[in-house]
Amino acid sequence: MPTVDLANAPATIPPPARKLTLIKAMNEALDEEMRRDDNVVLFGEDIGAYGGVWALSKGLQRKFGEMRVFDTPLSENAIMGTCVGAAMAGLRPVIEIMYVDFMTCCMDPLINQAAKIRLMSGGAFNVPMTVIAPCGAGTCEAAQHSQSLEAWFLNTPGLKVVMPSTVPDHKALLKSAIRDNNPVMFLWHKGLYETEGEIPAGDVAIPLGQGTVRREGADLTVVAYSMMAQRALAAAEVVAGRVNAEVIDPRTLRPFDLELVLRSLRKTGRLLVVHESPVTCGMGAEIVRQVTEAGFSLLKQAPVVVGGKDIPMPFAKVLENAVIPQVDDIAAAMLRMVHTPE
Amino acid sequence: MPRFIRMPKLNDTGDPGEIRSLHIRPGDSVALGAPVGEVEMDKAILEIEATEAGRVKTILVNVGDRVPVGQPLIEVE
Amino acid sequence: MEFSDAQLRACYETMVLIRRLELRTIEIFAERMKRGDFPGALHSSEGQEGIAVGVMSQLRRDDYVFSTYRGHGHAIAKGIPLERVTAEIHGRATGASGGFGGSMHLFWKDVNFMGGNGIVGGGIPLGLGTAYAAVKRGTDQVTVVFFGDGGSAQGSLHEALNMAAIKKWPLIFVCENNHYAATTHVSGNCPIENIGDRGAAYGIPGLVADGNDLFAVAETAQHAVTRARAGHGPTLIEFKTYRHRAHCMVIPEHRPGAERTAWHHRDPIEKLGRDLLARGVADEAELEQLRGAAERRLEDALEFMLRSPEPDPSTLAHAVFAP
Repeated sequence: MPTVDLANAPATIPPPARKLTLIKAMNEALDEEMRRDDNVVLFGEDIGAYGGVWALSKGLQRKFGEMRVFDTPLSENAIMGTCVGAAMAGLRPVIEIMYVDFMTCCMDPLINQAAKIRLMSGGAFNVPMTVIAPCGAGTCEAAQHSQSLEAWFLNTPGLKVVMPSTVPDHKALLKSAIRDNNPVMFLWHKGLYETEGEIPAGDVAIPLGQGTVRREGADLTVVAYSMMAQRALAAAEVVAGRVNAEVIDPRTLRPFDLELVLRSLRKTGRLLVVHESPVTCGMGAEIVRQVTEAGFSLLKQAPVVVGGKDIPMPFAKVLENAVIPQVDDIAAAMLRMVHTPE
Repeated sequence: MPRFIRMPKLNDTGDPGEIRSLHIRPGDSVALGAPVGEVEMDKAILEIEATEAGRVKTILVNVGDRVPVGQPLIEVE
Repeated sequence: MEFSDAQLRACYETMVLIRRLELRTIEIFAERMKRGDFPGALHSSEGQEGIAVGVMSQLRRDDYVFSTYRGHGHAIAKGIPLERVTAEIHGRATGASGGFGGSMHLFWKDVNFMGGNGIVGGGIPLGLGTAYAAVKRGTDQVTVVFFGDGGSAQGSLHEALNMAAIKKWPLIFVCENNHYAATTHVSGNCPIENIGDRGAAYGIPGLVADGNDLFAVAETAQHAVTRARAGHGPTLIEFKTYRHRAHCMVIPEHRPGAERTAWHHRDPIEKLGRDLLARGVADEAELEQLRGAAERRLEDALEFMLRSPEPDPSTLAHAVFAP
């Protein structure tokens, strides 16, 4: 395998296929998009010289310079505002918010400005921006560092929401998010930080709004995203032989690939949604609404949502595990659903 | 072919019952008719009896769950 | 700084135009209110025309401006075509935002008018972004963000002052201190006499001036613009002023009568008129002509608005996301 000096390679040489960690895959996506379009800029706390506390921007300031990759003060509202204004001015900014939980400090520029400027201006201004933030529980970081909050962004017209589960999808979808001409929330699960995956060769960008079937089956359609996509697959293996589960990873939550789910329900007639976020008013409730409206006749039984409990995330591991769906919880739901008489 | 102990019909209308307690853990042996848990229905606490004999493989419900009649509670092998 | 006579006459006419627009809009909205058809909200900038015209007189077309919900004067002074303003205020399809924004959300890309804002302090952090974009592109465009005495209490202002100062971005913070935030006197929003003095806390110049004196406004703004264009970073400006009306049309007047009378005597348009006469830039007849011209332009713009259709709801489907 010839080595390629990616730091100095001209943009036209497509990168080869290889195995990368999650964060390196995102770093590469940023690198490629910044090469491709001079308007792509990246900033946030510790993003510049240090390369980001998650190593998201490692090496990028050296490659692209301080004007395009820079540090900000500890001011989420100002960071988000800078992002929105820069996008209105025609740049394509990307910011990191260090934990999605800190989005509470900058909701106005995102919700009341970015999401609404295109409509309020009658189309005069677009806001092509990307917010990257780690989400998720499982690392004992307690209530204020363990949320996902996608439901807030989903209930805000004007935002797109992406939550991939595999390493190659993180790279391919981040590229698409950056190229999208709208505000995109890109949430990666910190529990997946250690995972590795095969990155295909070339400039691969998966369109937003396109889900994928991770495991084919005939008994039950399981829709699960982010960390729960991995857990749903593990649960499917636990119950294999007793349940033949089809696992769908939507990858993008808005726009949502309803058609893929309906196609699966035509086979199975049973819907299980799994997500980590608290179950009340979550994406599961929304998917059930969409499926009920568009595909009620496909359902043999009531859909089930296995979601996080409506409890702020406690600290101790045993408590954390009791709040978020475990593989066993998902497996139990699969067995219950498939073995309930119709 | 998996075997299940299911939520029994406990009143005329076949209402769901709320699991109050479970007496068994995965790995326990269970005989036909043995009490495996308690369910609350119409303000009465009623015993659930094993309808399958064998070893408990998987517990499919948690204490506090409201479970409709017929749904599997415990998988037995 | 020097204004030419023609520029001064144009400033006078624009200030009169803004004043007449605000007064006529209140009349029309009052009629609509009687018919049960009141379009939401109206925050008149009557009395603050000196700031809008004075600041914009120092800006180029490509300089960025973020306004507030009290932004009709800003919009006109920056150069949004008058008929687009009237049409938008009345929700017509020909409005600056196609009827999608209304009084508080006038936008116009051609003059980089980046929107009024319904959120107090909401536009301020966005100005960081346009200021940065200019630096990144190597242009000498500047960004002005407007806010009021109420806005000076918002966290967004302080984060933005701090960040702009650290980065030395070309961002000019203009506080229109009209002494009231809705019904709260400025002393309830600021513990010190001059909001402008807060610049020192961020290591940047803080200038305080009479917002009802066009020359003072223009000179102060020019100072800040020159600094920003030269790459010397942000400036905080506070203009003292007063709005002639209550906060908006649905809140009754509650401010002391003596205070309102005193500020009416400091009316910026009356003052500019006296200044132009004193300087020999115009005589009374010419001022009357300028007032007449403003009135005619306004009537034309209102007629345009009345002739314009309402927006088409079927366009909503494409209004949210860019392709």
